[in-house]
Amino acid sequence: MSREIKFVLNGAQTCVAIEDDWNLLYLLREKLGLTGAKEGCGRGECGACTVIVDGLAVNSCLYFAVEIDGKEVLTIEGLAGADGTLHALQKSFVSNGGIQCGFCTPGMILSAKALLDENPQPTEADIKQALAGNLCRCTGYVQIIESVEAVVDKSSGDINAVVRETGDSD
Amino acid sequence: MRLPPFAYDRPRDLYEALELLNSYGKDCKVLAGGTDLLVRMKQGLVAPTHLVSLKALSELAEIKETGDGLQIGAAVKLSDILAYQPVQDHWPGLFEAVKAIGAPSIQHFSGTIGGNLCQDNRCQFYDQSKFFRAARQTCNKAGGSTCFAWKGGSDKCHSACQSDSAPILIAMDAKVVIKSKNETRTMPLEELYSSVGERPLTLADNEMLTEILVPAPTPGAGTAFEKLAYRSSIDYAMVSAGAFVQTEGGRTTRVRLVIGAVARGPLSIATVEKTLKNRPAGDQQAINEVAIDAMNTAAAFIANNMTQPVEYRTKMVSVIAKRALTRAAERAISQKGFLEAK
Amino acid sequence: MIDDQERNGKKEIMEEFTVIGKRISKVDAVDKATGRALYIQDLKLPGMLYGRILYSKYPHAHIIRVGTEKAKALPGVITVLTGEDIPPVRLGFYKDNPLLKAGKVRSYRDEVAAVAATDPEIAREAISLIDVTYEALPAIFDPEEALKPEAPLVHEEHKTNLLKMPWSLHYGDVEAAKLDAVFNVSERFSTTWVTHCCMGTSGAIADFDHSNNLTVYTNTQIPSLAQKDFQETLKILGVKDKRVRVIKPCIGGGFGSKLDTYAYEHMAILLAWYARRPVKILFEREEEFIATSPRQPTVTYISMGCDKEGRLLYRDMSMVLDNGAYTSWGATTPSVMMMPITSLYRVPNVRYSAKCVYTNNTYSQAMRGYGNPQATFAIESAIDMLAEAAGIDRVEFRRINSNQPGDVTPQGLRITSCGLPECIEAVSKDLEFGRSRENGVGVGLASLIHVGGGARIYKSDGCGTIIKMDDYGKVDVFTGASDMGQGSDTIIAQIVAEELGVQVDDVHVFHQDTDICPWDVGAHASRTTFVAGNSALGAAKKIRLRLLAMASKATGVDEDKLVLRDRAFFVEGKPVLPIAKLLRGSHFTPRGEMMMADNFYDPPNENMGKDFRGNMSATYSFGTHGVRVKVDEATGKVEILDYIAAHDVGRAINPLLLDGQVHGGVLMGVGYALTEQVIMENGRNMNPDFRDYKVLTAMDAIHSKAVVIETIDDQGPFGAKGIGEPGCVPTAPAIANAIYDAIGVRIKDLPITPEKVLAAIKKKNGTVSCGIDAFTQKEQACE
Ligand SMILES: Cc1cc2nc3c(=O)[nH]c(=O)nc-3n(C[C@H](O)[C@H](O)[C@H](O)COP(=O)(O)OP(=O)(O)OC[C@H]3O[C@@H](n4cnc5c(N)ncnc54)[C@H](O)[C@@H]3O)c2cc1C
Ligand code: FES
Ligand code: FES
Repeated sequence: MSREIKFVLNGAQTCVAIEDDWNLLYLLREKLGLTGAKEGCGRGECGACTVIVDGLAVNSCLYFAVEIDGKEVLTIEGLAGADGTLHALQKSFVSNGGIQCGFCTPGMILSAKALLDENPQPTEADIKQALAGNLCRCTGYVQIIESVEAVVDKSSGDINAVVRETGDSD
Repeated sequence: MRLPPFAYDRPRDLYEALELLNSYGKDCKVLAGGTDLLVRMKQGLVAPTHLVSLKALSELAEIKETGDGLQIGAAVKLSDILAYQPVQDHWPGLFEAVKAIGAPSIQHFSGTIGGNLCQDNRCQFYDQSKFFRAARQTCNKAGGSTCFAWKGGSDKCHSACQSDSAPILIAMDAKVVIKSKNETRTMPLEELYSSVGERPLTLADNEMLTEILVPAPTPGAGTAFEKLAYRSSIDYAMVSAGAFVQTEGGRTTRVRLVIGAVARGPLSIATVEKTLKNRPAGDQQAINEVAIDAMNTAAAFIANNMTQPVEYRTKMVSVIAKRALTRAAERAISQKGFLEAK
Repeated sequence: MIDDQERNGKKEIMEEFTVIGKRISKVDAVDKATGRALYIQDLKLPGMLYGRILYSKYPHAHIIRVGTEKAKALPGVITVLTGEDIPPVRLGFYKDNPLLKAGKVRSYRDEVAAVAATDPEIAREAISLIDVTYEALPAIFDPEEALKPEAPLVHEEHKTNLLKMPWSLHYGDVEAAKLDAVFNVSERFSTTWVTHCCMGTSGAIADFDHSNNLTVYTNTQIPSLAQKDFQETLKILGVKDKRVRVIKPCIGGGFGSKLDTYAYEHMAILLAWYARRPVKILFEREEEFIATSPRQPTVTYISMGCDKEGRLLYRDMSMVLDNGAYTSWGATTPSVMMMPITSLYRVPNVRYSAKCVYTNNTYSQAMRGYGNPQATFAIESAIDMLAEAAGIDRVEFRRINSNQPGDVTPQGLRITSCGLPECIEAVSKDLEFGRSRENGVGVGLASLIHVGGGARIYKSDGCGTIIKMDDYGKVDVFTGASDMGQGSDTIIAQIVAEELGVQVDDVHVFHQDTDICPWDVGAHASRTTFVAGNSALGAAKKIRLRLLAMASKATGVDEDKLVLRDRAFFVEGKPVLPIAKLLRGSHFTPRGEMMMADNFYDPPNENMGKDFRGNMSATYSFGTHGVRVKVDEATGKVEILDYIAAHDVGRAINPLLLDGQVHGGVLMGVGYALTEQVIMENGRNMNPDFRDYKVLTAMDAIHSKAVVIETIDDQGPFGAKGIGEPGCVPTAPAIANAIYDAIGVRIKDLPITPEKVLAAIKKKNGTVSCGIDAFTQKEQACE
């Protein structure tokens, strides 16, 4: 059955017609052109499709689109500031080697964001746990974990404060 | 991947939900977090014509401590159970079990406790895509008449109940509240499981699990959950065990041991009470004896339904059982909160 | 070609580097962090159709009939192809793999038919409507069994299951050395299939223009060779003399998987050809597991001996490789295995032979390390055993036999820079090998040698670069290299920026398009930093000379007084002329000049001769890994407590990316050692998903300590050597050695799963039952 749903997508009120059997990943990628979330398995086993729904990181491949009616969805495209300034986590992944092929990156960053929103001072164990559903084949996770830790260290204040994208390599 | 068409409902209250279940009958499925159901639908294992979502039922999303113990709504998220302080303080075994489910972050933010208890059984020959299954005959669980997991075949389905929360909840004597439009019944959790691989739950088509009731902690009691898997996350158990030990003056007075992931339902080890009762809590020799019993009991059930060899999983039952019992006994004696005991 | 050698490595003495050696972020990282990077998954062309492949239902069978009527009748289906409908396109260098099988299938992954439809779901349904009638044939899955005369033939026309491959060498006199040796070991080791598990699945889009020129968007590590393969397919289709353009979108991981062209790419081309519309084929995860080629399994027999002092006298190895039903680069991995076999540690007498055998299993391909991990597992496990037999400390034993700079190995490999002794020292110091330890805890180490200066597998080992500068001092580099996430774009940008005195941000590296980028043999053998780096350096050097000459003319200052840095020319520490200004002057003027240069670099390495002698790489990388493990003796589970990876990298051009290669390689190696295996049951992949194929997770991450030994190689760009693959080479034997140290059992078959460890413990303790073998499902004997 098709129906119309309303939700907040990356800060903007959105209204779309969907079919009941669509999953959120399909809606985002194929219908809304937001290809940042990736499909690595389609079965909840890899986390490449992670997006944030009402503050929680979920596998969008296992989330029916109809269920986001009335909710708030954040995808990787909505994480940087409106003027292009990168989120502290994006900046940190870039400068700490948290990204290689990049296929896992959007999911990783969003899982990390959901963690920091919940717990601004996580331990290494907390971080590993928060990323435990996101597979990465390239990095061995070490620099990903360091990328998250680097944000924690700096963030005695507001971790969501955006950092200007300088493009340089500090 | 497109799914076969179905109708989706999101009732606003429990009454409406039960009404819908009643009218749709057998081709209807309850949708909680969907982390189990969606995978099955994508694999073409189930094709419900109706889905009744629990997302809007706030009455099922509550976890609270009452005089009688813990009352957990079926739609409470796994992450909410972990975050609930009393669980961390008084039910360490439950905390350990929930924490061990899938990947702590993502699956926990969608997955629910009700969904975890009601998930279908699993088998390496069944939980596969249509394409994979097409190369073999249809097995019992898929409506055919053979079992690849049982040596020499079988007319029964030998899939395994992989719920990580069931063993510990059963060990703690948890009860479940089952509702249909016309009836409410409360029964021990173990009665939810039919031990029939093809249809592992005793729920009628119009019934739904609404609550889990966990008895209040008693002084001198301890709980523990153990899970053996290759990896530290995104892994189902090869063997798991939930243990509850009640002590008085350093002696065991009541004890339960439930083995998970080995049989068609959670496997309660009957002899444990007889062997351990009145022995000093944590008595290794007695625990060893029980662990061997557990292994021998499990051996009759363990099928080749996972990629890990049967023989190894069988042996591991004794190891995992022993560890769960030992830790539960330690906690019982020390009467320490979870964090210290860990 | 300009002779770079003079300067390379010596620049350091003269001046500080501005970008070389710095922890610089990957140039494409911001796009990836913001979700803007486009992968094959994300690409769509107008009018594009979706292709899908039907695979075999049997491991070995005659195809009696392929019924496509129902599929063709399905609305939305545009093209249906079977082996009978298409000209005989054959894949792989051995040309034994028909694109669509007709007459016979030889494995479960055999392509039987393909469809193109307007929607992926229609394509899926169409595939399910194709009726194939098979007549099953006896199949063979064990390579050693397949060599027996009564074994069924996988390719009848080939007459035998043994591939005609020349893998056999003998240097020195192994038999005589055996008589001289005081201590000997002799063992059998085996490894099984593991697969790349790139997070981005495979896919391709093929698109013909009106005049039949072809564009293929594909995940490939070999754009130039892929272009050639696609040309061949066109030729068979009767399309001659047309352009083939290969465009690489962002690649979601390579690790060797994209080193050959696959059926899905050629199928997309054929479907597009017959449908006259662009066609995309994109794998789902299950298909990725089933229809891409894993690392090949090996059975290795090794014997090795040393004299009283522990000096290695001989190494005698033979192998059987399961080739699967068809031939891809997996069959050539013995050429790389020869390197560790003949040259890891000093060993004067070496013999090696390898048999590649057809079976009805999946066929194998290249994967990170290209055979080296399999060979090193056997060698380094056996080294520990030999040291023990000789009563010599394991670390000392390796010191005694370590390669040294200036060595020429029996195979003729010329070891120039060599940091192996330093690597061994670093690891032994860090892990305190002599220290007493608690029960169940043990340490182990293992070393590696790998090509670090290209690898001459083909006639050429070359790579081209074009550099052009614009009016604003920005640099465009067009390279033949392929970045799959490992960061070669960044390394090239750094090399060029350093040479031209600009910032990394000023440099844009293009590698995505064969219409624009020059030729290269492909991203393999850890060759990109060395070969593409040298190529880019040579081109940058040409530009630099021209800039200097122009600047000298413009300023009247002698060239040797001018210093090019920070986007300007300096004289005695003062900026006198910005590069941009100089360039604008030279472009925007009568009889102006364009600032552009090209360079083709082919390293001074050699093809192997008939006897496999030859210096295949211009330099070699070395490394030693050490690990401390704890074994749970009740469950057999192995936990990694500490890990140290010391590598001789020549020079770390970018330590940030280098660490990333090492950490990533190590965890992949740990998976190879402990958890990963494609479980094959009579040719069928039993675990085609991440639930049962155990790629390690963040909770299993290992904070390895990465130690970098810089030997500043004479030939390398700024002294660098390749490091892409070595991270996963010695991991498995280091872990196996540590387990032996911990609990006294040696596991000789990968992966070292808990059930194997437990069975070995039981066996050691003399228990009768030794568990069920994971592969055969049979009770293991305890003798
Ligand atoms: C990668 C991955 C790893 C996983 N690992 C584990 C693991 O290690 N251990 C484990 O136990 N599980 C695991 N799971 C399974 C699953 O995620 C969890 O069991 C989860 O708790 C299920 O909850 P849910 O709310 O998502 O269930 P759903 O998918 O919504 O429901 C599951 C089933 O229960 C039924 N159901 C749900 N709620 C009710 C109710 N109130 N009354 C009646 N029927 C109901 C549904 O109809 C459905 O058939 C894993 C899943 C994935 C994808
Ligand atoms: S695509 Fe959703 S978890 Fe892999
Ligand atoms: S960076 Fe490639 S998968 Fe994580």
